[in-house]
Amino acid sequence: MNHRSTAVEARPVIEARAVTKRYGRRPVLHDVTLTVRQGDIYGFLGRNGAGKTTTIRILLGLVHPTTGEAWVLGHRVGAASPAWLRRVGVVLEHPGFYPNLTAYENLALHARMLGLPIGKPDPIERALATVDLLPLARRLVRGFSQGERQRLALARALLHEPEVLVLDEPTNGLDPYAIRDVRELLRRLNRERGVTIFVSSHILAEVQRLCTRIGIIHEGRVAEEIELTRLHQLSRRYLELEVTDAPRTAWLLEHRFGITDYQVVEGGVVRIFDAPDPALVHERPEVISEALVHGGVGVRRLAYGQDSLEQHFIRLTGGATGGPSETDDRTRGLVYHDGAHRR
Amino acid sequence: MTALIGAELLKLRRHSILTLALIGALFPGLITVTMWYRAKAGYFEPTAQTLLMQALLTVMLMEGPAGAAIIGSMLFGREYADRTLPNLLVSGLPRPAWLGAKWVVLALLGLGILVGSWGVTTLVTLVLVGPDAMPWRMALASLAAHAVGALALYATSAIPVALTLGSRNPMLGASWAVVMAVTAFMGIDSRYNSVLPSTAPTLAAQLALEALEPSVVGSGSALASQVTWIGLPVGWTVALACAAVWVAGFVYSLAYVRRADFA
Repeated sequence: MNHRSTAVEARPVIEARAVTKRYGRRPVLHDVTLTVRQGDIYGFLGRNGAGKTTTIRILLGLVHPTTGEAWVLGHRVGAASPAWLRRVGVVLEHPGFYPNLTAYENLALHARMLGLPIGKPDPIERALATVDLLPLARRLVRGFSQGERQRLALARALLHEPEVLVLDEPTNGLDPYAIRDVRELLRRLNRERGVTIFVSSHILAEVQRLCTRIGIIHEGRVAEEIELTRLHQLSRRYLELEVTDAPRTAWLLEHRFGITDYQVVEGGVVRIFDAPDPALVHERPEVISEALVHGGVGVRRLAYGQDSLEQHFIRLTGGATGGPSETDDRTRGLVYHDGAHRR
Repeated sequence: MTALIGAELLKLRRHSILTLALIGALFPGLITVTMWYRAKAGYFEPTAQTLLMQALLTVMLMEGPAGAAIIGSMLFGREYADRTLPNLLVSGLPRPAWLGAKWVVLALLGLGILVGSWGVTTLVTLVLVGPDAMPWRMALASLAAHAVGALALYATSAIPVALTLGSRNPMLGASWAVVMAVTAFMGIDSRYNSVLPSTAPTLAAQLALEALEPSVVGSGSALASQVTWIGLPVGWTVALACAAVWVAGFVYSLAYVRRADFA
């Protein structure tokens, strides 16, 4: 597909432009800019407290930005009429329900407020069946587990067949089977009905499995927005060595081969990403291995690996790949910037 | 708007607020029985008129102000307690319409309680004094007075509702009930009863009763004797004050849900 034609076809559905939020003197978001295009499954990834929920609540008009603007479906958020919200399905973090009502009644209430016609087939039953909650339709929400409440929230978000879904940690409290079902459901909605999905999560594997585009937020800043396919292209291959003496290995790599793009991980594991002569790493690893052995370092294992989203995320957010404190300081500068490696 | 009111009424299903409302409606009946036995013991004349007056005073001065504070706070505060307010705000409903529907339901609840309490009081009085001794004109005037008092109670409930919304917790709003209860006890002393907020509904009801049934004046209530010299200008002042309180409460509520952050 031609990149130019994609850009023309996929109009922005959700946009944040230089959004900043402060509570008193405490800054929560700094200059957040992101774009979700029509048809995207956009994963909004960040650690707890990174600013995901605040960003989502600004996009939905629940929190007012200190500066900047947000646009959803072509409407500026915060402007007088929130009618555009009827085209959006929302699952908020810790979704609220009326505990004295049944699951069915909670959805009926929502349908009544939105003026949805309840006929045959019953859209409430259909929404409950979609999330496998039909057997619990007549049970009071008071007795629901967190996972059941989460599924009910998803049913409520789907009830009016929205064009856009905004989901804040929708798999919270779900078991692995339910997580898989939700993932399949979202994929199906996106594929069959063209629903644009904005989903926040701190579960990297989930985002990797589901999303077509990823935004990474860290300490209130969007560190990167990237297509998943592009991320796969950028995922760096590395040569992983398990050695008996990691500091000596580091010294030998730098002084014998001039290699500086490497990482020392816990348990005597050294990852070499690149070298002045790339063939040395990617085609002739035995040369490095022999040099290490001659230099007095035992090599227990030698294998190739590739960066996962997890490693990419951790590198972007300034954490350590192999544990909180084991990364060599020299690797800290190896962050991706604007989708490209800086070496 | 009708759909929104219907949705707000659906929220009350199986809710403890209905039990409270039922107790509120039945309580004056119990007071009437107590008053009957006090009258029989020689404290005052045991007539249907005095019983109806005492019940009206009990509702307006004692139960009503505190009850309106508790029910108003519960109705609005539960949206915080159940974390449902953010969901409502992102559902695309016009916020003034949603708030308006909530106020309509509060009015319906208040009116239901007051009409219910009038019905129970009248029925108990009828049983105690017998149908022949029942002054029906007075009973109907008492119904109108209950309705006027209910309106005044409804208006003053804007204060606890605003407190609940502002504090995001029904407790502060409900604590207004304590203020109302304390001032109600002070209001029994006629030196204060024209200046305390809890006496506004009483005055409104008394004035309505006086206008409809002049024979009630001097029938034994502490306020009734004042009504004669306070007169209608005070009635209008009370009505305007109540309306101002309600408008202020509604405007504050609306501004709050429009401007506040729901993080």
